[in-house]
Amino acid sequence: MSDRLKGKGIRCGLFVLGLLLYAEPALAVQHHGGAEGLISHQIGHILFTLGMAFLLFRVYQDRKRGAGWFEFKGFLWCIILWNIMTFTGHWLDELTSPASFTIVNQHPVAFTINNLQDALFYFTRLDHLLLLPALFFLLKALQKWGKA
Amino acid sequence: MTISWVPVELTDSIGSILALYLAVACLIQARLWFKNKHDDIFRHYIILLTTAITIFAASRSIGHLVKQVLLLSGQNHIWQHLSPFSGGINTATFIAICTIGIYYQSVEKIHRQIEYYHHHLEDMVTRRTAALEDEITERKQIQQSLSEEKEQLAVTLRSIGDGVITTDTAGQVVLINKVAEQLTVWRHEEAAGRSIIDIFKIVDAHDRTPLENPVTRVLSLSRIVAMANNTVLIAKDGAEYNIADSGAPIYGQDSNIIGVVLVFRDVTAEKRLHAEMMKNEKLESVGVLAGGIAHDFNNILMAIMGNLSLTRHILDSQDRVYPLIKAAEKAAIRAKDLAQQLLTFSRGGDPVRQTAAIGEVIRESADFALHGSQIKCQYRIPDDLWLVHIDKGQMSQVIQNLIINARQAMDDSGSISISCENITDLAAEKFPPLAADRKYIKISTTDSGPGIPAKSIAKIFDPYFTTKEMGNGLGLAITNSIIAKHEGFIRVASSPEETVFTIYLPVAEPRSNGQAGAQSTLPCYPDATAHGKILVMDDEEMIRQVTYTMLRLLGYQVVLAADGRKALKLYLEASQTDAPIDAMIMDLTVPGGMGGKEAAAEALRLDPAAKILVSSGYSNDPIITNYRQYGFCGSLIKPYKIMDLHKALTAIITPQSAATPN
Repeated sequence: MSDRLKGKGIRCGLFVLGLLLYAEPALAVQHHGGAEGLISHQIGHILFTLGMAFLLFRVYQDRKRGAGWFEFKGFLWCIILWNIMTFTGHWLDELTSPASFTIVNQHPVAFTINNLQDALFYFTRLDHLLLLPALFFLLKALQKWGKA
Repeated sequence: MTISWVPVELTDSIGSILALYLAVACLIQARLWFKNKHDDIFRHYIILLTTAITIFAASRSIGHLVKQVLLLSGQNHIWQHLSPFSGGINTATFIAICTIGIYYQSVEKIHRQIEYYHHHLEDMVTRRTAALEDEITERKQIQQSLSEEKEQLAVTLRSIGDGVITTDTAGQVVLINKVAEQLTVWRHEEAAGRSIIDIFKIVDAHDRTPLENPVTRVLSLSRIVAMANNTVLIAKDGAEYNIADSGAPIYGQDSNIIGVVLVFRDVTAEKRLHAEMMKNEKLESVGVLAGGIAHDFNNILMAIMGNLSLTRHILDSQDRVYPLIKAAEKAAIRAKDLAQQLLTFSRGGDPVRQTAAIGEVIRESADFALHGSQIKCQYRIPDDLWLVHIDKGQMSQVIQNLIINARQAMDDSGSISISCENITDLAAEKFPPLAADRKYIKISTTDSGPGIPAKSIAKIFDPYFTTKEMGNGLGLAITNSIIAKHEGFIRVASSPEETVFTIYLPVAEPRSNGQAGAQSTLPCYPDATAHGKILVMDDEEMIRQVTYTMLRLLGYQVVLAADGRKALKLYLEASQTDAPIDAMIMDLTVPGGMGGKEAAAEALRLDPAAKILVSSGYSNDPIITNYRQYGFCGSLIKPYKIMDLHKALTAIITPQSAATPN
């Protein structure tokens, strides 16, 4: 790519970023505030899950075996579960009462579990427990493929 | 139950750092793996996936860490501004990962197909090559068979003895075979594409009116048409051929006419042959007539010549009538020769040869042929010309034919020279047929005529070839045949100033010379000193009478019989007495009775020692020519003179064998 084109790309990118940072509500266009952000994000999780699930289906269908494939399947399973977990977490976040949090200096320090939903919410907040193994599996799979 | 929120924050913070670390590690590892194989679509996908995950991890981890810091530092409102960006990026990466997955599926499917083709390309190429080879082989076989068929067709067309021309429906020539090329004098390259009317010009042989082209007729009638018998094809060079031909439509697969095929053949030779056959039949008829007349004429001549020779014998040579009788005898001899020629013409056959000097024969024959003409003939015949073994009558015919031809060619004016010479240097003659171990004489006739056209000179000895309107084309053919039967050769050289016929004749063997010598020593007028009893069998009364007189004059006793059966009876009766018959002279042909051949066979069966002479006017009859094969001791050609009779009998009856002295 020529320098001239690169310069144009950078200028366009900065212009778009500026628009995003200083965006003000405008009546002329649709407003995307409120629950739309969450719904969009949840759709993103669903798409992510479907994407990984389909890939997992293909891996099983193609009977992929050999170095790295076990780890890759572990990655897929973990990332799918992670998506479900975080999807659930986002959903429960909206349902959980702010009173359940003990706030000290505007900072939560404790959480009161009144029911199973609260318990599930607390658990979903520990999503890294699935995300880290998923990434670890992906790394191991890539390492094994690299060696193979 | 209240539970501390610290584990959540710790997990979030530490997890974010570790997730970021692992994501980056994955990206690095993926890039390393990708570097090993750029063309692997799955690696492409993993690169995109790890990139998206790294972006997600970075966004999420940094976002969470920033969030923790801001919340702990009481900057909550800042986080409220940043949070949508972090969440938006995360959402975008989720969608991107899904999109990458979908994209990967599509690309992977295409990639697999490409991989399949890539890995199976060789097989596919091999299979396709094999299929192509089969196809090519099949095509080659088809082409080969087509080529063979075409070649076969071409060879067949070339081999056909008839001319073949095919045209399209517009009458334009498509194909013309070799024979057609020769007859029309149009080469295939020239004729192809031209109108058949230009190539195939035909006219009526009688009135020369142009005839309708058969191609036009075939196309208009849509059926086979045959041409009239009197069709003449005019070739490009103007040559004309009598042809027989037919045209037929060529039908295509859809049964429509797609062209016309013309088949024709040159029947010029056939027509000529037919004409020659007709001419031969006429000649044969004339020959039979001439032969019959000549035979009777010969018998009459026998009586005339016999009586003339007897009269000349009786007369004193000083008698004033004697020269007249001699002249009459000479004329009778010429008449005899003419009769012999007629007989030769009518019957053909081998020459009855005798050793003779040919000079006199040449002079007499040439003078006879030039009788009444203004043409002067010069002779250069040396006295020491070697003797030859010839049939005088046939050789006379040869000379007469040559001279008559020359006379006609010169329109009765000009000069002819005839020269004879002994060939002492064969090599100088440059004439290959001459046998090196034999001697030859050369007879040359040179006329001052306009010469023979070059195109005719090779054919002049062919039977029935003639340039004269009234000629029968037999003269030179008979001449050539006679010379060949005399083991000689004839050749011709012609220019616009003169034509030279040269005849080579082998010289007579020494014994022949001896015989000739012996002939010359015989007395001209034999005395009546012969002894013996001779039976003469002839159906002609006048011949019996003249022969009787001759024999009596020679001193023989004579018994006469009109046919073979009577002769046999007389011979048997005489054999029972003291005066048996010493020799018999038997006529070969006895109409309605036993002829000489049968009578001789019977006589020899009864008496193998019987001495018989065969007598006939047909000098070239096979029995006369080869008389020994039939049991005869000698032959007498009618009309014979007393001297001929004397020589013939003297040769078979010795004085000791003669039973009855006169």
